[in-house]
Amino acid sequence: MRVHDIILGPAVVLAGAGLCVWATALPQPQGFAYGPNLFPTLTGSGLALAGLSILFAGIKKRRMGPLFERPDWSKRWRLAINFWLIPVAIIAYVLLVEPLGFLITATLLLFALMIANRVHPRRAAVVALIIALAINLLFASILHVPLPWGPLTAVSGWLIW
Amino acid sequence: MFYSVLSQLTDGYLLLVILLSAAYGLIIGAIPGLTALMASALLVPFVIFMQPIPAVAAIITASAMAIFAGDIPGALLRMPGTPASAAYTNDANGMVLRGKGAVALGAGLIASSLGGLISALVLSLAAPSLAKIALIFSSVEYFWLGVLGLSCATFVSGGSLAKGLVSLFLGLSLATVGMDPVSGIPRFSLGSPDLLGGFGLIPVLIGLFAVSELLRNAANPPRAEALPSISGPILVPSLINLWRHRLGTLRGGSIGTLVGALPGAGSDIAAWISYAVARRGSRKGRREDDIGASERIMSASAANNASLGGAYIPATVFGIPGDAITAIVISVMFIKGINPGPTLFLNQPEVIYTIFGIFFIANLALIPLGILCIRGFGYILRLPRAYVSAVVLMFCILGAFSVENTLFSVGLIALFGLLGYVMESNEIPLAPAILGLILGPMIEETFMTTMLKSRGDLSIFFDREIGAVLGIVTVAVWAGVVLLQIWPKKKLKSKPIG
Repeated sequence: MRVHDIILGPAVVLAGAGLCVWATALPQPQGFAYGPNLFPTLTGSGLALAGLSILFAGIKKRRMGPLFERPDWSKRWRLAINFWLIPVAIIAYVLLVEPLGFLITATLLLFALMIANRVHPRRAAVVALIIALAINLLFASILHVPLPWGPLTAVSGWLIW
Repeated sequence: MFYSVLSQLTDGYLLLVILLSAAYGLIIGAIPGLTALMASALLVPFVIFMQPIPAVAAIITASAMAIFAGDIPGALLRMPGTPASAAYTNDANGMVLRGKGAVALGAGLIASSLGGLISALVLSLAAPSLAKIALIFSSVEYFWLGVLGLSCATFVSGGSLAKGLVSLFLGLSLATVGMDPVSGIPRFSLGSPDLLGGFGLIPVLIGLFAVSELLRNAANPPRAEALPSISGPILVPSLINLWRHRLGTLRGGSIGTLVGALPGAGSDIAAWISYAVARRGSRKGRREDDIGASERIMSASAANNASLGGAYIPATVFGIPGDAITAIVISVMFIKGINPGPTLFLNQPEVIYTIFGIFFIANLALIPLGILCIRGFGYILRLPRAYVSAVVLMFCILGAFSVENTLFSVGLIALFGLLGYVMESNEIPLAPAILGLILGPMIEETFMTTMLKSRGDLSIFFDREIGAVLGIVTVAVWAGVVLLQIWPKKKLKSKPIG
């Protein structure tokens, strides 16, 4: 996703200015010459200045290139699915891992990712389950990361040693 | 102390960790699209449960191996495995096409190893004396070091200065989220307890560098290509080459160490600079035949591996990371109770010297393991990508989770993955943002404590000797860069690189 500097510049200026305004709302401790708002104000101003400079550069070359360039992958649905599946899988993990437990969530996500990459469904299901089991064993038993078990809590003892 | 370092280095568990992380680093580095930084970030959940020394050893070894392994797909398929190999991909691929694949890869391997050894030597010799100077540093010097580091990171990031600055200020702004270091007042935390401690480094790193890379790979799947075969001996010709190109390799190693020691400038910049120096500055490097190509390959491969060791100079001496990989190492050290900085040299010298020793072991082990990896590359390439990328994503998720134990940090990697993708598509470099996020709190804290000491008098920043020098250097760097921007640019007649 490429945007022309003429759009990118003002967007950065807005973000910087917004940060400065937000910083004014921070409480000011008594007796300090500089408060917690000093650095956010400085970095916000820095962003705004850099944004202005991008805007000016963009005005100079405004005829070069389109304002907004759609990436090639977005025009092919299979690649678009491949792309969006990654953030969607991460969010799905966040939402599902507590209720379903790690093993089930990981198997489902791995399965979905493999299917999207054209692995045969039966093969994908077997491989996803094996990988999820292996990762679960590794993290729960060897690395002691507290992965949730969800409905499998009752049988989790079989898989942790 | 020598014996205690030696006994630590010959510990069987440590050597096993080095061997396993070497194999891991070689495989990740050899897969096109998976970088050395990604290899290091995904190691975090594993090393966090180790003792401090093996933990650091794993990251050092894996990153050194991955930087070399990136050469292999670069040479054979013209797809650099890591950005650090991109500088000489054309040269190496050209030699492969002329049937000199073993020579090209051997040259890169031996130069990588030597470059790494040079930087390890400089690191072991320079760091202790620098640490003695660093002991007298106060918050003023650390403030200037932080600002100087961020400035370098932005100026060397390449491309437009304004876009580098956007990245830098974005990182610094992200660093202000969470509790203010002096007064403890929460800032921009939106009332969420997850944001009180600020954005964690590891989730942001995994998002910006690993998830964004997965997104790019998903959108542009690499084509499968026929693999040219590598035949003939590797070791002997590469030793002969090493002698023939000793000056270029030494020069590359030195450039790499120096560039690596600058905060923000990582292995890819080191490789490009060394490549350009070899191409323009040496008689051999200008030639268009195999000797010229070998000279350029060896100079640049020595530099990219040397930069890894160079980056540990500011990391161990001042606790300021030279690049994103050392930033990971520093955060792992903090979690494991080692506080990098000058006092580490006083209090736990054996830890520091063991870490330096690991550099030597890793770079020596690179030669036999690298040869194995070149020979076995066909098998690595046959690893089905559909499974590899799915597993890497799973490890990204678990990596973010295992450091902070919150699902919030898992959500962050999706957010920062998309952000990193959009930034890179618009030529906004990622490295300044990461260094801003890491150094931001240090700069703010040292500024505030200095101000408290001086009761608001700004002149204190130029009162102390070393502080004043660092301050003047920083101001001069900025003045120079701004002048260069304003001055009408002379059209430099330069050959295109590569």
